Amino acid sequence: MRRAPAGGGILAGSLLLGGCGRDVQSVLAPGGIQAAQIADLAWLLFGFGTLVLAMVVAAVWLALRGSSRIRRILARENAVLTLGIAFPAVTLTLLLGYGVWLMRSHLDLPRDRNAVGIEVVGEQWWWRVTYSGAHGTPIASANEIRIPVGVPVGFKLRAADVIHSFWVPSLGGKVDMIPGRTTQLHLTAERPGIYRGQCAEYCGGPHALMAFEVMAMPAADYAAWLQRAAEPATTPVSEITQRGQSLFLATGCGACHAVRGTSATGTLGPDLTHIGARRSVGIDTLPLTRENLTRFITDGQHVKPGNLMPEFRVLQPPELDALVTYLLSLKVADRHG
Amino acid sequence: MADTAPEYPNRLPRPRREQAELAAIWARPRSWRIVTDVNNTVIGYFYVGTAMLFFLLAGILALLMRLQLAVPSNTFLSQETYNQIFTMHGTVMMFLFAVPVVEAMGILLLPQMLGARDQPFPRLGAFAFWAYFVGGLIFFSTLFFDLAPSGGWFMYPPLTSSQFSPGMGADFWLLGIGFIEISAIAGAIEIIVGVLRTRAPGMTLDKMPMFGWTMLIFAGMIVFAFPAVILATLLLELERTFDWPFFIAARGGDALLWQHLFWFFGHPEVYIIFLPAAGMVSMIVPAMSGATLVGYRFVVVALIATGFFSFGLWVHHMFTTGIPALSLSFFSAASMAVALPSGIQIFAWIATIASGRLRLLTPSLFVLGFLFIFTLGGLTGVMVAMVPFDWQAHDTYFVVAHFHYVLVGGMVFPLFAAFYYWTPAFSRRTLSERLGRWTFWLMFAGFNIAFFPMHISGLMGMPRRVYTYPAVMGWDVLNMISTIGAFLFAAGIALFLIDLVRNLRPSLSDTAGNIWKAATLEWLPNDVYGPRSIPIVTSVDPLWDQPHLAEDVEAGRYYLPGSITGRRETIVTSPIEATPQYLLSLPGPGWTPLLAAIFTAAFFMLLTVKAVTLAVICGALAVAMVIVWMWDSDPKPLAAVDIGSGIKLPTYAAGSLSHSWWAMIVLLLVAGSLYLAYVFSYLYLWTVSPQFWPKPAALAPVTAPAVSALLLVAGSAILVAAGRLLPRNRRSGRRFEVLAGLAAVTLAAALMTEVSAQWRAGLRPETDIHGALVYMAAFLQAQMVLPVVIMAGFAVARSLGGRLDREQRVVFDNLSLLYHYTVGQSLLGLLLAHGFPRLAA
Amino acid sequence: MSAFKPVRPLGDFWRVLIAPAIWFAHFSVLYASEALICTGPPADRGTTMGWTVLLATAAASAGLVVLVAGLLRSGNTAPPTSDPGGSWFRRASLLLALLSALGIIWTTLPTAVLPACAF
Repeated sequence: MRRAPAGGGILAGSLLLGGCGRDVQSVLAPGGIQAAQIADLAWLLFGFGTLVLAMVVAAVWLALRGSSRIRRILARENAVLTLGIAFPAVTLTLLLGYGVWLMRSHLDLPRDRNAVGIEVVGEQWWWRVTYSGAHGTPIASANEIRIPVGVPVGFKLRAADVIHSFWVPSLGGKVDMIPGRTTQLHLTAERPGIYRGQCAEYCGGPHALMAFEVMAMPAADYAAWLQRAAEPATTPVSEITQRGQSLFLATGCGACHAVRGTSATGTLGPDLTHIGARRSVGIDTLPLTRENLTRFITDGQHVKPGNLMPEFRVLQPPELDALVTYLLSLKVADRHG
Repeated sequence: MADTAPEYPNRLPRPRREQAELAAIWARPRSWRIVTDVNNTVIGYFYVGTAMLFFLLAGILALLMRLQLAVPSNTFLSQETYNQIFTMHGTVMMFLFAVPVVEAMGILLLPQMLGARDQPFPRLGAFAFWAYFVGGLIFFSTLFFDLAPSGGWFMYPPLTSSQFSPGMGADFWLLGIGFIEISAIAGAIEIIVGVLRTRAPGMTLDKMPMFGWTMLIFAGMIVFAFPAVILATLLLELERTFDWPFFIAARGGDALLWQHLFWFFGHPEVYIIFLPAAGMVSMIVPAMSGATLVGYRFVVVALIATGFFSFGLWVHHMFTTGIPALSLSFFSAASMAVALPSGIQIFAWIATIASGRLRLLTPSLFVLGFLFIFTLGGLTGVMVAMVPFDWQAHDTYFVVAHFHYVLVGGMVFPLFAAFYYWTPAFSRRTLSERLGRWTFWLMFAGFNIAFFPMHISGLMGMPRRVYTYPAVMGWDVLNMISTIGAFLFAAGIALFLIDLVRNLRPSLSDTAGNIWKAATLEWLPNDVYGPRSIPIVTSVDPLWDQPHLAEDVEAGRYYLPGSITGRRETIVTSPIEATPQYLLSLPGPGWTPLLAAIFTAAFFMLLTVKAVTLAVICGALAVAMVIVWMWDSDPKPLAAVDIGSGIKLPTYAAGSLSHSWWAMIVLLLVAGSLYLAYVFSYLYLWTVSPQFWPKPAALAPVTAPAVSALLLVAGSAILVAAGRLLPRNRRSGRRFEVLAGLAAVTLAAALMTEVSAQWRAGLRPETDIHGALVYMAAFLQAQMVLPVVIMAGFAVARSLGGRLDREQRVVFDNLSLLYHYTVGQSLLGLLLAHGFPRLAA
Repeated sequence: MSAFKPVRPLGDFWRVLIAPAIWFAHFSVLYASEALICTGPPADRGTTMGWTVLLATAAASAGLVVLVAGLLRSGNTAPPTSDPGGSWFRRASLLLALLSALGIIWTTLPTAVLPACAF
C-alpha cells in the first residue's frame, strides 16, 4: 500500500474513502474470494426470488382477472399440488444442492498452506489483534488488521467477555466470537484496499461503534510491515515527546495499555506500541488526528459512550499536548522499510 | 356437500320463558364488575384490546428508533435508551403482542366458530388474560424507570449475565417474560381442549373451520416450544441469582446452550404466530370469494407439516457460531422443507380465489397485501436458509427486513384483514370501507417503503442493533426512506384507530351480522350465550350447505335451546367425530381468577426486586385463590339429561372422557417438554465440557438413589391403593385420606433423599456445570413435587368435605396423572444424575 | 338419530403424525450423531458418520414404506364413506408421508457432499 506521509494525509485518504463509503463494507462489492463467491450466490438468489414473486403475483392476478378457463385450471386441487409442492420441490432441491456445494467449496478454499495466522479477540468494545511474527513470537496490536493480498489468512477468533461477531463484508461472511470457544474464519483478499469491518453480534453499550479496518496490502509490503510492527516503540527523542512519555507512564496509562520497550505493560486495553501509525482513534470511531486523540483522552464518554476507559480530564492542556504528541510519534510500523 | 336435512332435536314452539332464562343465566356482570366476567366474548375483547395496546406501544418504540436512525450520527436518543428501546420493541412485539393477540383471537372466535357456548375452562382463560394484562403492563413500565432490559429480545448470555448486566432489567425480562409464557401456555391448554372437545355435534375434524385447525396446531406447538425458553429463563435467572454457572465457560457452562434453547422456542415461535394468521386467511378468502376452500385437506396437511418442520430450524439462527458445516446443512435442509407447506397454502388460497369471485373489499385487500408481502418474506427466508448467504446476511438489516416481511406480512396484515372481516360479528356497526381502503394503502405502501430498503442497507453492511452509524457509510438515504415509510405505516394505524372510535360498537347480541354471507358458525345470530341452540354440523360450510340453519338455530330447534340444569352449560363432544359425550356445566363470573392473576404477577415482580418475603406471601395468596376457585369446580354429578331426539347425556365425566383429564395430559406434555429440554441441556453441556464430569468414585454412593427410587415407586403404589379406597357415596374416606397424604409425604421424602445425598457427597451447584445440572434436576423435581403436595392436600380436603368419592373423582384422577408423571420424571432424573457419569466414565 | 358416528379411538389421528415424526427422528439422529462424532477422535469420523447416515436413512425409509403400504392397503378395504376416520385421514397421511420423504431426502443430501465435522 502506498502510504501517505503524515497523519493529515491519512485523514485525507480516509475522507477520500468516505466518498466511496458504500463500497468499504458492502456484501456486493467483494474484495476477496469468499465474498465474491457469496456475492454470486446472492445475485442468483435475487434472480430466483424475483422470478418466484412474479409468478405468485401473476397467479393472483390470473385468479382475479384471468379468463374463466385459466381460472378453472388454477382452481383445481392439482394446481395446488403442482405449484405448491412439485415446483418448490424441484427448485429448492437445486438451490439446496448449490448451497451445500458452495459450502463444500468454501471448505476447499486455500487455507492452511502458507496461511497467515492472525488471532483476534473481541472485547467490550474493541479488537485485540495478535500477529504471529518470526518464529511465532506474538505481535500485539489492536483495532486495525493488516493482511497480505492473495494469501489465505486464517483468523482465530475468541471473545474476552461477551459474544461478538467478526465481520468484514467485502472479504467474506461473519463468524461469532464466543467466550470459552475458539472459532475460525478463512479469508483471502484478492485486491489491495481498505475494507471496513464491524461487530455484528450485539455486545451491549457502544456495540454500534465497534468497527475496524482491514488493510489488504501486497504480500511483500505486508512482510516488511510485519517486521517493523515487531519492533518496540519509537524512543522519544524530542523534548516534548520525552515529556509525553513520562506523563504517559506517570498518569497510569500503562496500567491498561502496553507500549513495548517501556515499562507500560498493561493488557486490559489496546496495545499502543504503534498507535501513531493507525488510521483511527476510539476503535474506528474517529480518524486519528491530534484533535481527535485529545478528545478521546479527555472526553471519551462522549465520543464513545460506555467505553471502559476513564476520561483523563485532570491533564492540563500543555501536558495533554505532550502526551498526544508522544502517542502520535509512536509509528515505527509506519516507516518505510 | 349438502347432506340430507337433519331431524331437529327439539320441537317448536319453545317454552315462552326459555330464552329469557338462558339470557339470565349467561348475563354478564354490570358496570365495573365486568372484570369478574369469565365469558370468552368479554375476555376476548379485553384480550384483543390489551394486545393491540401493546402493539401500539411497541410501535411507538419503533418510530423512536426510526427517528434516531433517520440521519447518521444522530443524538436524538442516547445509546443506552436506544438499546433499551430496541430490546423492548422486540420483546413486547413478540411476547406481549404477537402471541397474545392470536391467542386472544382464538379465545374470542373459537367457541362461536365451533358452536360452543364458551371455552371449556372459562376461569383459566380469564386467569391467563389477567396475568398477561398485569404482568405485561408492569413489564412495559420498566421503560419509564430506566429499569428496562437492554440485552436484546434474544437476551444472549454472557451479555445478560450478572457480570455484564448487573441491573434489574434482565431480571424483569426473565421473570416477566417467563411468567407471561406461563399465561400463554394456560391459553394453549384451553384452546387445545376447546378445539378437540367442544365442537358442535357432527363437526368432524374434516369439517372444522380452518381457523380451528390452525389454533389446534398453534397451541400444540406452544406446548412443545415454550418449555424450552422457560427452561432457558430459569437457568439464566438461577445463574444470575445463585451463581449456578450454566452459561459461564470458565466453569463448564456454555453461552451457546442459551441460543439452542432460545431458538428451539424462537423459530417455531415464528410459525406459532403465522399459523393462526394463515387460519384467518383461510376463513376470509372463502367467505370473500363465495367459494369453499380449495384443497382443505392439503391445507391441514400443510399445517401439520409446518408444526413439525419448524422444530428442525432452530440452528438456522446460529449459522455463524462456528458449528460444523454438515450440522448447519441439516438445518438448511429443514428450512427448505418448511417452505413447502407455505407454498401449498398460498396456492390453495389462490385456487380458492380463482374458483369464486373475490370481492375486493377491505378484508380482501389486506389478504392480497399479505400474499405479496409474505411471499417476498418467504423468499428472503429461503435466501437466509442458504448457509453461505446467511454468513453475510445474518445480524444485518437484511434480516431485519426479512423477518418484518414475514411477521408483519404474515401476521399483522391478516390480523387487520380479520379485524375488518369479523367486526360485524361483534359490533353493531361495521368498520368504514372508505377509511379501510385508506388504512390498507397507507399500511401497504408504508410497510414496503420502510422495510424494502433495509434489504439493501443490510447488504451494504449495516448491522442490526446499532444506535447510530457514521455518514461515510452511505446508509443515510436508505435509512431516511425507511423512516418515512415507518411514519406512513403509522399513519395507516392511526386511521384505523379513528375508524375504531367512529364505528366499533361492541355488542354481544345486536351485531351487524353476516354481511359477507360467510359460511361458518360464528355468523349465526349470537347473544351473550352464543347461538340460541347448538346446531348439528354436516358440512365444512354449514351456512351455505345447510339451508335455514340460521333460522332453525335461532328458533331453538337444535341442542340446548335453554339451560337444562339451570347452569351455564355446553356440550362436550368426542375429539374426532364430534359425537356428543356429556353435558358440561360452566362456571360464571367470579373474583378468584382476577385475584389469582394479580397475586401471581405480584409474586414474580416482587421476586425480581428481591422482596422475597412479600413475594412468598403473594405466591401463597395466589395458590389460595386458585384453591378457592377449584373448590366449586368438579360439582356433584347429576342424573343424565335428554338433550333432544333421544340422546341422553351424562352431566359428569371422569377418566379419559373428562375434558379436565385432557387438559391435565396437555399440561404433562408441557412438563415433559420442559424436562426433555433439560435432558438435552445436560447431554449438550457434557459434549461441550466433559472434563467437569466427576469420576465414579467421587459420586454419591448408589445406595442413595436406590432409596430415592424405592420411595418414588412406593409412592406411586400407595396412590394407586388410595384410589382403590376412594369412598363410595356418603361413606367415610378416612383410609383414602391417610394414604393420599402418605403418598405426598413419600414423594417429598424421595426428593429430600436425593438432594441430601448429593450435598453429603460434597456436590455444590455453583462449583461447576455438573453440580449445577444435578441440582437443576432436583429443582425441576421440586417444581413438580410442590404442586403434587398441594393437590394431594386439596384432594384430602375435598374428601373430608364430602366432595370426593368413587364417582365424583376428577380431582383424584388429575392428582394421579400428575403424581405418576412426577415419579417418572424423577426416576429419569436419578438415572441421569447417578447413571450417566458412571456410563460416561 | 343416526347423524353421529360412533366414537372411535384416536388411532387415525395419531397415524397422521407418524410420517413427520419419522422425519423428526431421522433429523434428530443425524444432528445428534454429528455432534457426538465431532467430540470423538478425528480418525474415523467420516466412516462413523457415513454408517450412521446410512442406517438412519434406511430405517426412516423403511418406516415410511411400511406406513405408506399400510395406508394403501387399508384404502382398498375401508368403505369409501367412512369419513373422517377412513379415507380423509388416509389421504392426509399419504401427503404427509410425501412431504416427510422430501424432508428426509433433503436432510440426507448434504451428507453426500460435506465431510463430517469440518468448519
